[in-house]
Amino acid sequence: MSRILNLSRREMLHGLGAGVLALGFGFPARAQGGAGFGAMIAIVPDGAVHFTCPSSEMGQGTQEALARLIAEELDCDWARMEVGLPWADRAFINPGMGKQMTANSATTVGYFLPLRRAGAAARMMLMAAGAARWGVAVDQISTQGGEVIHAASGRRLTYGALAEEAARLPVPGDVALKSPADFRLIGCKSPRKDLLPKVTGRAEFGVDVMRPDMLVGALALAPHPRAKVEAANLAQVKAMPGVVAVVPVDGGYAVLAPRFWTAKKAAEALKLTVLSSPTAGVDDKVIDAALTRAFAEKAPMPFPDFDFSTMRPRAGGGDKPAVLAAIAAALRRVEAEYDVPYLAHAAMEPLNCSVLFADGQLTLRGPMQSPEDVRALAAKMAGLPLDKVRVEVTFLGGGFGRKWATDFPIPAMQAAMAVPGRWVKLIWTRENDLAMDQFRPAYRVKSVAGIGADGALVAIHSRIAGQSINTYHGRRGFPGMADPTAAGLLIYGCYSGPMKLMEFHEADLAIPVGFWRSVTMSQNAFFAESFIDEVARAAGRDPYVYRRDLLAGEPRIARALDKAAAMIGWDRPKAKGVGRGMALTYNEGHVCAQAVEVTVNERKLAIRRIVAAFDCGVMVDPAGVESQISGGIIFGLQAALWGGVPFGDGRPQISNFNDVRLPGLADVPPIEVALIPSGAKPGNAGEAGTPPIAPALANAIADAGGGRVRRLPLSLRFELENA
Amino acid sequence: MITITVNGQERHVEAEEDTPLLWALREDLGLTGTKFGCGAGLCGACTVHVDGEAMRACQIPLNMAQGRSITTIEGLTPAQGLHAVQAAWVAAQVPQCGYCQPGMIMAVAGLLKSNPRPDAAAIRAGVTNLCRCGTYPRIAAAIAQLSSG
Repeated sequence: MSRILNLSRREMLHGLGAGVLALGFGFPARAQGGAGFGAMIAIVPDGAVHFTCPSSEMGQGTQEALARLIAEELDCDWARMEVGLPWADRAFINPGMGKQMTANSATTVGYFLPLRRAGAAARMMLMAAGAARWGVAVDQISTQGGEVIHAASGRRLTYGALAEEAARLPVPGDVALKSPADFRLIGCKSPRKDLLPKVTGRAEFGVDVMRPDMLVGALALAPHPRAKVEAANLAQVKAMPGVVAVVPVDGGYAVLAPRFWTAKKAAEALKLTVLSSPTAGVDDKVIDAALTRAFAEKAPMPFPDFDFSTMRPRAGGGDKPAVLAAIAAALRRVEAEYDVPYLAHAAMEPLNCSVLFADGQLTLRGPMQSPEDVRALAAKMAGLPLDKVRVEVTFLGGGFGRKWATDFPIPAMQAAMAVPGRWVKLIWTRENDLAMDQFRPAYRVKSVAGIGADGALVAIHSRIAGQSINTYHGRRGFPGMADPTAAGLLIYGCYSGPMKLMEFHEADLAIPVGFWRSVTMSQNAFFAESFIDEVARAAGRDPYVYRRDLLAGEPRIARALDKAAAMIGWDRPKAKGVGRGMALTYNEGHVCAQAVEVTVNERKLAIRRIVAAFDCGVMVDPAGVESQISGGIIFGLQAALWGGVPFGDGRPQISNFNDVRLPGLADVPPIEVALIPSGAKPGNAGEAGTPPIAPALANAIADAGGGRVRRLPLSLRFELENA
Repeated sequence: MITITVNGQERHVEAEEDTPLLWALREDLGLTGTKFGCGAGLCGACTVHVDGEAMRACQIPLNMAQGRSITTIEGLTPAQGLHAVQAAWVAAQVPQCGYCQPGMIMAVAGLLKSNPRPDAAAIRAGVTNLCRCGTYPRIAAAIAQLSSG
């Protein structure tokens, strides 16, 4: 491949606005050679456009969405656009985040305008090159499907033929973008480009990385990644046939062999003695006591009252004396206590990473959501300068937040550094993957509300206790303020009228915890939307109408809720034992309202239908958005029905899919998703489907006469049967 | 050394005889379309056809595969174009992360081969693979399309 469009990084920064996007119009071929500046777009002489997608593809469709943004404005031949996987590089940072990280549903939002501008700038340069070649004014030039056209003379040239000349032209400082009415790719429902490699088995996931003479590693894990262990029979295991090395790594030992099966058997033979562990003695009773103690002994931290990237600032200042006084003076009070358990990610692709340490350089290749952070950490731990560390991203076989963490590439790096010159692939077994998860924390919430004479909600005070994800990861919080991943939207700010107070009591536990699809909303939608339902029923009001009244200032949210209510037939008569429930989630980038219809008969729960109304603004790939919502619902359904990681003897008591139940084809009820046309700016969809299903189900069960569910999972009280 | 027939070709594998077929396919023969998901026969990511029947390759020791005819996702894929199940998967836009889908496709292809018009019960019994992204509604749509035509 020859380089054609060659814009320096500086030029692109200048052209697109400093700090917006370092778009190297470069060359995947060069990039393979080292850790130099990245390349995002290359047009080769035959006219094919190579786009290196800067974000990680874990199923959410980011490759497709970002490729469409470029192609839409570039006006290239979509069929001839090829999409590649990224590596850690400042050229690839998400301009909305300032980081190359695929998390927080921030990809489409962050890249939407910069990538369109890049595509438009390239198109303008190609048009200018055509005009120069033919000696005509650029305003007589048009483009279509990867060709520059001079209509008056009938002349046309492919982008490939003009790319080299275009690359020598200055990058336009000011680019005009298409009007949405002219979009051909943004908003179309054609299948994603990555489906073909995925149905044929050709897509390269991390676990598929193969290199000549590669060693494969299996892990013998300590009960906690920060535990200290000692192997009693190290020499014996090292002497097992086929074993090449046994390397101490973070959280245990890696056993290396030419084949995984050999390594796994040897790793299982390793006898570990635990010297110390941050979770020594932790079991479910200890966790329960820690939550109780947090409420009793840990000073409450208020939730910070300002905007986060995906959370609205909450209404009101959280005036504690005023809220407490209002509740004390209210005509009636409603109180409830809720519990949710630790949750596992259980992505279908177990953790893995491949690493080569050779000639003083590290190359890591694997399924990562945070390549930039992995690169920085690997360089620091290996004592190497950043330019000696290259981090390459494969397809991710599911991420859901787990592969945001940087804990899994590091043991692979440590193992590889013990055998310089040979690629090492470390593969977690399913048992390892579950045991070494960074779980969604368990939380307990105590809520109290005051209701006025007319049933109106006067004030809500909600307190949440549990671990802080920020504390576990040593991430800085805001002094005196709650970890937003615990407390954010514990009470929904969209419900205007009542005074609100949210507080967090941090539990003293060291169980590994991390981000789990939808993060704070994964627990707080259940707490907030269950409680508002309880309050409505206690006030003798219809929970839909009650919510609707509180949404007076939120037409976008109200519209989604109305749609979900209409879809489920909220007002239709229902038989005894049938119940309907609803719940919503929202942030700056979306609104998702869900409603369900269930039947409850003693312990038997059947879900008849699930509906969702979703608004995320302009959609790049509506079919992809629909799949994110229906898939997100099923992800949330698993947690609501069966999620929960028990602890005993200082470690999680789960091993494989025999005791982490995932839904199968037979378990999934009919799901209908309505995508609400919206002129709002592009938002996010990857996490929105997950949070509302648990409270919608709990609310429907209460409606059906099955009692109020205040503790998840539902399997503690109900058995799922098919409707 | 163990001899197996994979995608129509006789192959010799040097791995230990208790090595699951899954790892021999992946590491010795480079057929990485067959995925490792659980190693316990629970998720189906490693589904292949053994003498025409969908089975979980992580549960078949290499010595039990001796002399059998194995088809993997690479072998199911025609030289040109796609197998009907793969084509239906693209048309229904099934895959998200895609990791479970080769196994899912092998399971469905195996089912439809023995039962071209499966009823709901047969589909439930025949497709027990796990998908974490929640692609089931589109899997159901793709199977419905395949078994109606």
